[in-house]
Amino acid sequence: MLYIVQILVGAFLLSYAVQLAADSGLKKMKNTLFSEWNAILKGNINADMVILGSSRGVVSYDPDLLSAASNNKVHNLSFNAGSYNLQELKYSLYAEHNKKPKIILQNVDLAHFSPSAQLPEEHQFLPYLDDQGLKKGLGLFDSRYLWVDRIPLLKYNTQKRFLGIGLGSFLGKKFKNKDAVTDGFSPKSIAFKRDGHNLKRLSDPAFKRSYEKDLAQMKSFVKARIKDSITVILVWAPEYKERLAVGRRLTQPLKQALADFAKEQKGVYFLDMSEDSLSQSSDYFYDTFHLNTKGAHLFSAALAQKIKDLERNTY
Amino acid sequence: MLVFSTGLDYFTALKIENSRSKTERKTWFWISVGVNLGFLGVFKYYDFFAVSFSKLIEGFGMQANPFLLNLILPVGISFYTFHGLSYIIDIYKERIKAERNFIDYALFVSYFPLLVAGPIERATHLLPQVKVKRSFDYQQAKEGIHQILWGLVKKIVIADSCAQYANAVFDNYENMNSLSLILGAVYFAFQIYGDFSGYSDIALGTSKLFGINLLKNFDYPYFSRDIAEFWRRWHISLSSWFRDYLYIPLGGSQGGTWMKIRNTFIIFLVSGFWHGANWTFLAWGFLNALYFLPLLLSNKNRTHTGNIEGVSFIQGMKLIPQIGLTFALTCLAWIFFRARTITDAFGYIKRMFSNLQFKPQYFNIERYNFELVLMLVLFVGFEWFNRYKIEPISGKYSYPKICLAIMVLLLFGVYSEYKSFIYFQF
Repeated sequence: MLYIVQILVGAFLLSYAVQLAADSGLKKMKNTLFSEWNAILKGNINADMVILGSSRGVVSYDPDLLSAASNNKVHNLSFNAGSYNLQELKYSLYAEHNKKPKIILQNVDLAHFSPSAQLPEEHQFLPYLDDQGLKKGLGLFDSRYLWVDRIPLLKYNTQKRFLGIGLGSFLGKKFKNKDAVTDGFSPKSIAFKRDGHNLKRLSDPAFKRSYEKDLAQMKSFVKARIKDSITVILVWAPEYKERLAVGRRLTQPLKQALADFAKEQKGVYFLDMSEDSLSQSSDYFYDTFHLNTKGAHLFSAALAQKIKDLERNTY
Repeated sequence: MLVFSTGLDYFTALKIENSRSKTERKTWFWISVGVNLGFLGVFKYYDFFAVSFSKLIEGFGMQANPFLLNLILPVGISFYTFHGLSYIIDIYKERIKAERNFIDYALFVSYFPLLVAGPIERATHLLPQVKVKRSFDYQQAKEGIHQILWGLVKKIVIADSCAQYANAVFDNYENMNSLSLILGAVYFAFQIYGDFSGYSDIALGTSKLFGINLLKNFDYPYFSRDIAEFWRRWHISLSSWFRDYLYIPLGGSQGGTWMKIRNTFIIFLVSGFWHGANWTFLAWGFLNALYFLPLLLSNKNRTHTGNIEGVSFIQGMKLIPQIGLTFALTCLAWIFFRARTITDAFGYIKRMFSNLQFKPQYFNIERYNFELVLMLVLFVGFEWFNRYKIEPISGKYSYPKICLAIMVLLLFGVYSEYKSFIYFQF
């Protein structure tokens, strides 16, 4: 028995030491999703305005431009490939560790109202799985997260590449970062590529969506923020004209519902910028749904102006 | 099934021993053998023969509508049937005395570490250990833990990782290039080795915790210098069972050339058929017989019997092609073992030698074909430098090696889906 205990203790300590080194290596990598979570969970952000959204939120909203125009500290909390349920999880963790913002910019679109069933880019959570709030939230998607951190190294079993990166970073190695993240914003300088499969799906008359439940969920999230005295601005960012055309039958009722909600709910505003002039040229997009770096800067500048106008006219 | 088979063999063994005449003795012997093989035949082979026979009839233009049983194969039937048979044959040949204590006999047949996938034990080896009072042996238990741990590494890390790659290749071989097909066969070779020898290590190690030593089942078979040596190192308990209870009674290698050839084919075909009711297993057995025969006929089948001792550079240069050729021939035979049908196996081999593209290929499991090679090279290296031992963990630096093995299990083990042991199906 003692022998088994000796083995387990030795293996545990060694594995834990390796994991600790990899975790701290990942945590110290600047301008990455790891540094983003580090700032969120350590309460280092404390922004006046936060941006919530999915991939469109990540690539389109430049906190620097929004900040310069409004004199507010702005941070982008968008969750790549994450729908409203993941965005809400990220926000709740942010609010738990940081001061509450005055304004939330919520990116909305068709994808926003399809809840995520799976966790995207799971590696981003690796060094933070000991955080109880995060663990509990991730556990809703995959029960493995409720216990996986109790066995050292097991969390790296499906993410071995990041063990290497973490250990390398711990030992001082610098890694190339193709997708640098600054204040949660990660613009993409990629040439336009028509995502025909998505357009085909949208244009199929058999493709239908029901938003009632998800819209109600979003409304209750927004109302809870209003109770916290936070202004919520719903923003529909530009989409390329081809997508606008094929998706109109689906987006129109949703936009109307959002406009109605903004009209009836104090503290909520809806800015539909989907058909902004940017939507006319593929120069500003890397596919029909996502703005590229150039488009993101122009959009963010235009949005900053709109928010300014809104502030002047309303609150 | 298990209770019936155990009761039958216990009872008939006593009857054989207490028989007053040769005829009575023979009658009880054949009752036991007949019922044991009858059960195995019905459960494992009936449907195969019915379908094959009906296809043969249809080949002559006649209509056939075979009656199929569609029975679920009882777990471990091939193993406990062979336990019982070896016991009955040994009693009949008066090598051992019949066991009077039913509990001891039942434990011999149903001893849990070996029940579902062996090793196939002999009454002469296991029963005496069951009968003596055992006390906890710390050193033996320690060895057992090492063996269990190494078995887990072989199963969860090596076999299950290789399984993902081998499945990706074999299930989609029509779209694979030569490099992927070669690697697919190599991955399957390590999958089945890691899976089955890993299970055997876990069974042997677990048994050591109870103070019982089971028969060694694997002895680093991929370091064999020829096919004859491979068969002395692979699934040793089954090979030796067939040698002692089939090959030698048939005359072994004592008779003339034709007798040697006949006996070689019988033993390899039966061995293939033991694995399952499918032509692919028979083809695998046939191919191994073809490999073995030249060695037997030229009296070279016992050239390599001992371990590979300290190897000089020149010896090493000689060993590499010997071991490499044996491994290549084994991999070729494994293609038949793994393929769904004989046609698939030939299609696989044909494409492997005709495609001649050797570029890295991306599999549908989102992995490149070469990604496991480094892991296998490290595994082979680790086994090579520890080939004198029962398992590589014991001995010098065992404590850091254990810690490393646990870390490897945590990091490289495949836990995403449940993977049963391959030999559970036999």
